[in-house]
Amino acid sequence: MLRFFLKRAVAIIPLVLLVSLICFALMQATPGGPVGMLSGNPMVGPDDVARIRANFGFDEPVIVQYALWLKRVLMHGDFGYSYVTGEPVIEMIWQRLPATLELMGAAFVLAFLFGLSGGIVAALKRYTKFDSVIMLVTLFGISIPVFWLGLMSMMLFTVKWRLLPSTGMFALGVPFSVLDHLRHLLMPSLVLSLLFIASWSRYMRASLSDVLSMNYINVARAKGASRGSVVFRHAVRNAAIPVLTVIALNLPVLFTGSIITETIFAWPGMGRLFYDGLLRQDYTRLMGIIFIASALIAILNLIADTIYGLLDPRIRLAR
Amino acid sequence: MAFSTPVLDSPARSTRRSVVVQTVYPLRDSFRSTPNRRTRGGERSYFGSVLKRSPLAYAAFIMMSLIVLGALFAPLMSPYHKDKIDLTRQYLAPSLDHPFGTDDLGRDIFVRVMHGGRISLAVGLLAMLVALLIGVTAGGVAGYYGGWIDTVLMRAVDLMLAVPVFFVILFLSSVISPKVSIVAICLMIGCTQWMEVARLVRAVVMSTKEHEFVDAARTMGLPDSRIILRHLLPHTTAPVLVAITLGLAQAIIIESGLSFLGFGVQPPTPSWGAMLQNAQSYLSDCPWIAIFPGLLICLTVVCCNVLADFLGEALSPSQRAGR
Repeated sequence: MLRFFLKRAVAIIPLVLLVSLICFALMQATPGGPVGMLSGNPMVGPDDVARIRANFGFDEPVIVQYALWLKRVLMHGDFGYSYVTGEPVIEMIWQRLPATLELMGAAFVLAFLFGLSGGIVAALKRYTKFDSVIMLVTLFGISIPVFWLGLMSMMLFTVKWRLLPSTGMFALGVPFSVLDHLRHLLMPSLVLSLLFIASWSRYMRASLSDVLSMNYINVARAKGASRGSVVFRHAVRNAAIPVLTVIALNLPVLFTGSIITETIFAWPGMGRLFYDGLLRQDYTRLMGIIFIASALIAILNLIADTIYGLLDPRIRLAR
Repeated sequence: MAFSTPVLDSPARSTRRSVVVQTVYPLRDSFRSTPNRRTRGGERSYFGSVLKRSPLAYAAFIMMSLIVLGALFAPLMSPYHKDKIDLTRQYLAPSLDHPFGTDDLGRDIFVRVMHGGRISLAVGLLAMLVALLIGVTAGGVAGYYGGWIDTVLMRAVDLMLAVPVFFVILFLSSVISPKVSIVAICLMIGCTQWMEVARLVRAVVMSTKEHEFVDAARTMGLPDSRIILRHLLPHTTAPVLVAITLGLAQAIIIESGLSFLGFGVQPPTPSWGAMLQNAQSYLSDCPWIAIFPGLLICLTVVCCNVLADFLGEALSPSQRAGR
């Protein structure tokens, strides 16, 4: 198992390198290159720009620049300084990361619980009214764009029924309380998770339906195993494997959703930071966030792969 | 292969699929066989007869036609002009005069939604065309030649699937803003949506090239390009058609998301996403500004998803062979 894990971990390295190459290329594509923003500043003369270019090694060949940049990123986590606020980018991200992880974590847990259980129930009651209802609801679930869902739920729960707060992580001017925080978390995380609840339950239903019609399930039943044992110990475990692949593939979508959700609900996370950066054309910040997000996705993928290997010995032993 | 492929195929196929609820397959999983369903009649009535037996797909087909027609004949749908600002008619609630109400500048939302359909659907279709071109080329070449080309291309697919591409699109739009042209949007979306198609095409080409007729074509001295284009790619039609229908839905969602955030289609050009840009400020007093454009996105995407499922079943080879 350890060997399997290490193999997968090593496979991440070229991926991260490629992502860094993309980030660097994007950075070069910004108007005027990395010092482009400075040339618009009246306080900075052309000779200053030239000096800064020389200091940062921007006059070197592109390959050398890339190597220098990569070294700074990997050794020191140094993504440079924000064009707008002058803060180190890594610190800005570091401050916002917990909020994003909390939102995505909550959405993930909701999606995992409701998605998988919905799929299991639908598969067990396949072709009944209940199943049709679940499938119809999830059909809409996978089709609603997250920003519109956010707007609509805000309209209903905040504006109309005044049940839930619509912005921020805490109520202002009130001492911190967990309950208040959860109330703020509830709507954004539900909005973010609906897509995944819907799509994972559809996958789970399909996968479990397939497994339930296999012979070994009949064998387990014939041996007198209880229904719960057959479903959960024999069927779900195998059915979960393909669903796990889908979950891993959905991780980038989770990040995408979090930009939009955080923007709508003014959730002070990385997505919001990214959006602010977009508005102010703060390219160093954007780059740092793209890199960190990709690295996080790579790590989460590694975790998914590991679980995959734990669940399914065939995968672990095959390579 | 680290970032595992979405293998949803389990070794044994269910054979208990014949019962009514056929349209509710999970997406992307939909081109599996449904051996028990048989149809009679010729090629022409085939789709019709399958469509009629699936009320959900039938409804989606009609709905989609209506949306497309509405978009095509947008200027004829309403006496108002899409960009006509009329400050005496701001924030009007939906009425017979303005079926979807008016927005903050007194523009008729109904006519704007219809025009927005043109943009959103066109962007979706063009983006899918780009994705199709890249995906089929990459998948065809990778599947046919195998070896290092295959490795490189499939690594590229893995990479694209592991990067949050929406961030990258937003970044690029921010670089070229404020003049993001519609063609640029289509290109950006297309360049990030081709992976599914590439994988499907590769898989089909890889399995099809083992057949004798491909050997025969090679023996006859046909060039590789002709073998790929005329002998292998036609076999990918069914799964690719399903994938691009789903991709169309994805492209529409991405475009509307971009435009909603202000980095896609720029105002005053109406697109469904762009119309929602300011809607958040008017949620309490005039919710119709937020409701209708989003409803159209939602309906279009639902229709695409349902139709993709339907196509997957209708086109699955075993079912057709069973006729």
